[in-house]
Amino acid sequence: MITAGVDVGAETVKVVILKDGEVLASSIVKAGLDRQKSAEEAMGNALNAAKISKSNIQKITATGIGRKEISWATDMVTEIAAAAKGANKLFPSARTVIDIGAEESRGVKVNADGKVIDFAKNEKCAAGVGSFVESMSRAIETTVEQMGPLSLKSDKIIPMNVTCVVFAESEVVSLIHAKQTKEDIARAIHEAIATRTTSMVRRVGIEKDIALIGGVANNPGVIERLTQHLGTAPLVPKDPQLVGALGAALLAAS
Amino acid sequence: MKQVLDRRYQTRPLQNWNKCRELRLKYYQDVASARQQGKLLIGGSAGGLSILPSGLGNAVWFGGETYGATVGADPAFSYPCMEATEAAGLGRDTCVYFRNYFGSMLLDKYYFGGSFPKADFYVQSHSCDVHSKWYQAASEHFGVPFFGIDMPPGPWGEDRTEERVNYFAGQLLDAIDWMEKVSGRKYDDEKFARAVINEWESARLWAEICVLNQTVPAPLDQKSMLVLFLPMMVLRGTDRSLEFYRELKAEVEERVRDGIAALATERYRYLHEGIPPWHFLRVFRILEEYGAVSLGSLYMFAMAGHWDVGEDGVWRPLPPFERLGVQFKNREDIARFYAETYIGNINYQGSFWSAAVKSRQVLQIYDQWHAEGVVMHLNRGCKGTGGYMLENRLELIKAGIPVVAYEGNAADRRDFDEAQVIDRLESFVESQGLTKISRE
Repeated sequence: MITAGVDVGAETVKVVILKDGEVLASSIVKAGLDRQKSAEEAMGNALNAAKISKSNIQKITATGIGRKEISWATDMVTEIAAAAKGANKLFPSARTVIDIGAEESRGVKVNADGKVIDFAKNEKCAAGVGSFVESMSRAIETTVEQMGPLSLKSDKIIPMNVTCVVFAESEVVSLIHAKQTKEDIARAIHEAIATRTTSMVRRVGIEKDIALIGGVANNPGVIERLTQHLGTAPLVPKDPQLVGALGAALLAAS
Repeated sequence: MKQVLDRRYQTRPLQNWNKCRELRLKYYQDVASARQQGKLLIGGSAGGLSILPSGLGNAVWFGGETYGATVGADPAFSYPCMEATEAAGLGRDTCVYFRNYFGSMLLDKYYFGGSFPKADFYVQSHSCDVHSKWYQAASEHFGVPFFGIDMPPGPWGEDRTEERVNYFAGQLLDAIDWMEKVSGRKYDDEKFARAVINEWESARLWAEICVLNQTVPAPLDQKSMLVLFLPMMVLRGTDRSLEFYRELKAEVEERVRDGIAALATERYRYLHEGIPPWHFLRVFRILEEYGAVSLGSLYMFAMAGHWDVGEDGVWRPLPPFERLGVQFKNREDIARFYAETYIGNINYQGSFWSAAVKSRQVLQIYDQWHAEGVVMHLNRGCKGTGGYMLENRLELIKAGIPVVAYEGNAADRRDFDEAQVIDRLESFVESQGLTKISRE
């Protein structure tokens, strides 16, 4: 059976195509204003890579904040269910899944079958998620990709506001004026993300193993800080941003 | 993929629905026209002490909270009202019902048309952190008298009752003397007694109606009940209110007997705790698409109902007035009985004052109403009813109960993120193993 999962996120659209539960192809494209168009593009790329046509896919499940915009999906699931299922496939021992995307972060408690037991999400502010890192990288004139490596060069802890992106940016400006180094500021930003995320996940209870997924899991600076706060190193898959789409494709097959 | 159900309950619209809506509309029209008709218009809390002026005869009580909720349900009308209140220097964290009411008053725009109704005077108890100041400020705006009543704080302990009841009842008697002076009318104790008995009976009937919702399938859904409990809030103590609740109870009993469900696809029962977002009552309809029916809440049961919560913790409607063996010999007797009833209200005794008591109450309702989960609205618009919610959540989770909490505001749409709330609710019902139900 061939199924597909489409994860329509705030920053990117991800597609995973599965054949009998194994990945045939995947694709990630930047999400434009027209999510349907971006999803079409992501699906087209994945189909080309898999060398199949859309008609070969029996079921397509959409997930992500823009899931309702995908008219050609045969089903929909929430990001929570998709994250839990996808993480369970990659790390069956994981009982806590932390998913940090561009605009949302989630803590999910799962059972051995990947079923959601409880969950928590960040509240209205984007402090602590991907767009926060991106915004802060601009403030210290570096790239989002460089944020992690930069912060790993620092061993200094600078307390930072974590309740609001805008206020945090003001604080970063103050740190720049105080002649703090880029490395130290990057570490402070990741420290802020880690404290906020850990506090959110504690609401559902932290149980090992912990899987870390979502685009922010590509950032080694966040992983390092989270490891400190969680007291254990999270399990991070090779393509963490694809886990939601993988979960959706698995749910389509179930 | 939508699930096709092989079992559906019978359902039908409520016969008393339109009657309830007519009562509501007529009430707000009466508020607007009271003074032109030579009636007294008295302001204060909805529900609240609204039956106290009954002895003056020919009076209409303009309750603030229900009006604030009505305004808040319509963001186009509500936004300018709240902005006017905030521009007057009042913080955005002030009671949201107050901000809607007060802004409507400052702009001199009544939601049901015309100018904002000017009360002849205001009577208010200190039932929460805002109430007394709210109506004091309204009285100052219009330059009319105000009488504030100090309310003994709950919950009742071992050293309770006599002193507290006497303290409160004494102030009610003072308020009656004061109202006679400012209105120039003679106070009729028989009318007061009748209103007190009517209120007792209506609130008891409401509690009985709530108990009928323990039935599977539930004969009522909470979205409808939030309208059906309005006569208790705006027409408390009136013959019209009592008649309405007698008829409604008879209808709900009939639905129970005939197995009529509020939701034909009922397969999951939950409580929706906290005042709902009045501007987005669709929260209930969203969950209905999954076959989930909301049975009620501590807020809704307690705000309008008279309950006997015994040592076993079980919620039972209080008995009919005639079975109490109470005889009113004079005004003092009526005031004492009313004082005891008023400050003995479950909300004042629990949810306003104690996280532990509130948690016990929610847990009890959960069991008695055969619920399977709890949805919590973290209402940023009310300090009293919104208090302790996260503490309550932890207690429920400790008891193994599935809970989801969403943040919002009962009557300020600006504090509400629709996409995020829907996503949270859908994630919750999915985690409960539910999928959307096909209309087939």
